[in-house]
Amino acid sequence: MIKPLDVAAGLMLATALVLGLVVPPDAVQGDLQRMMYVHVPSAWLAYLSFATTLVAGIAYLRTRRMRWDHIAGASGEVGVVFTGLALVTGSIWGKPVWGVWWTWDARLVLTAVMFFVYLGYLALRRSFDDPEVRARRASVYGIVAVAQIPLVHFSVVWWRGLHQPATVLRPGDPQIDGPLLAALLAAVFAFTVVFAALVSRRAEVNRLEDLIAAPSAGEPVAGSGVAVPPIVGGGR
Amino acid sequence: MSDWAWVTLAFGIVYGTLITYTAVLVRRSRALRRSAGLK
Amino acid sequence: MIRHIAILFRAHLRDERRAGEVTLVIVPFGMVALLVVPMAIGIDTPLLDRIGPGLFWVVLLLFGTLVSQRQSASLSESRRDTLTLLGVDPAARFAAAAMAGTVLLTLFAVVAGTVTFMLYDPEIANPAWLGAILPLTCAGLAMVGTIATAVTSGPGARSSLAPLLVVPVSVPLLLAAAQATEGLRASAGILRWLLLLCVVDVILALAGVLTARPLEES
Repeated sequence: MIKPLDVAAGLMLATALVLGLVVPPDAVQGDLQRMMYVHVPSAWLAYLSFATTLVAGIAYLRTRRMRWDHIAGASGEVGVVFTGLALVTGSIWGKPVWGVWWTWDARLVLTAVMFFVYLGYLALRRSFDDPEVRARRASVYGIVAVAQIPLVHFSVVWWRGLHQPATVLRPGDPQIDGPLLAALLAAVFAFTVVFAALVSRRAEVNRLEDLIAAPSAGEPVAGSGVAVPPIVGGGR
Repeated sequence: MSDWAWVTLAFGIVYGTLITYTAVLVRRSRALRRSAGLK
Repeated sequence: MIRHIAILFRAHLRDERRAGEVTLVIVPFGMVALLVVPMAIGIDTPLLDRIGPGLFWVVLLLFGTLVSQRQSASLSESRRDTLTLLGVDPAARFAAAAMAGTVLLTLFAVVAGTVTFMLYDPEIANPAWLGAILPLTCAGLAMVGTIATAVTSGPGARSSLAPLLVVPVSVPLLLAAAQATEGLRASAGILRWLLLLCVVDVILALAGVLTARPLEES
């Protein structure tokens, strides 16, 4: 079933791809700089998905609605994908520009740490059969892990010295040309819509998995005398 | 490797991953909907 | 509440004294790790002096996960239910487990630190400061370990998962401890790193106390 959000995400992604390839090259880095149009949005989504996982985890603990846990899990998985893409594209960008695949830059180290935090989060989710237990444990770990992220950030920045300041988010002193900025913003926007579409799709998969794993109505759960009551509305 | 080769590699990995991931999710949700008895 | 914490803390240490898991298994294992590294990288005295302190912190971080995961730290289902029925606050259980973990980790750190001094001979200007760095680091690691053990305990959960959860989250502790030690070697200021250790400990303590109840339900 294709939803309008999927169509919008596909169209925007195609536009961002074309824009990223046709805008004029950067004055300093030439065509290599086009990698920014996939690297920066991926890195942005890595942070956004972490934040979404945190918010959905807190919302689950407060409301105990499984829907929030499905979103948290979905966002965690999509986050791993984008964090991985940010690391890989950063590496591919670094090789021709700096001559190395990896450098101990503060932001890179932070992204790598986040990647492993996410992997742990997903592994934790996979290790429970009971959806309620899984939701509680994962929410708690998500909150503790995200609380540590600013500290990881500060410790790594202090360790490596200050990273060059962000060039886009500095009003009044744009470091990047108009068309290039437009292409970058279009890519960031398109990737954000793609993120929403993917999270929605993955949350749906989570919901269906729980639905199938749950005992169905009329099935005996404690001898033949006690059966699962029917749930109106198709489950959780 | 030329600049464009690096760019193609990066774009290929990102867009390829996104398309594959979307395809996997769509197939999985279809299969799950079928087994759950939904349309 | 404080009485509950004290009783549970003593119970944790008593269990460990009986089982001897940390003293007889994990401490020797950590010492072997410190012994085999020079065999792998070569006996280059200046190099060993250079890497000794960093290696010590890595060993503490990695083997610290074993200390948090020791069998005596995990309560049996029936014992946990009894504590709940007796009205023991889950936060008190977290505090007691974290405090016992801190004591055992500090014990591990003191032994491993002595072995590091003997085998690697690092030069440290003001070793007295280690008296502050070590317990702060151990407390942080113990709290992360206690939370990770609680999160991964129970039927179906994989206890091998705990180290993967602990290590990335402990990066600030590792960096702060290692950089503070570096600061001592170079006679540079270490206040910033001590402050970071304190902030990490406070945040972990808050997180542990606040999430103790939702974890209890499972």
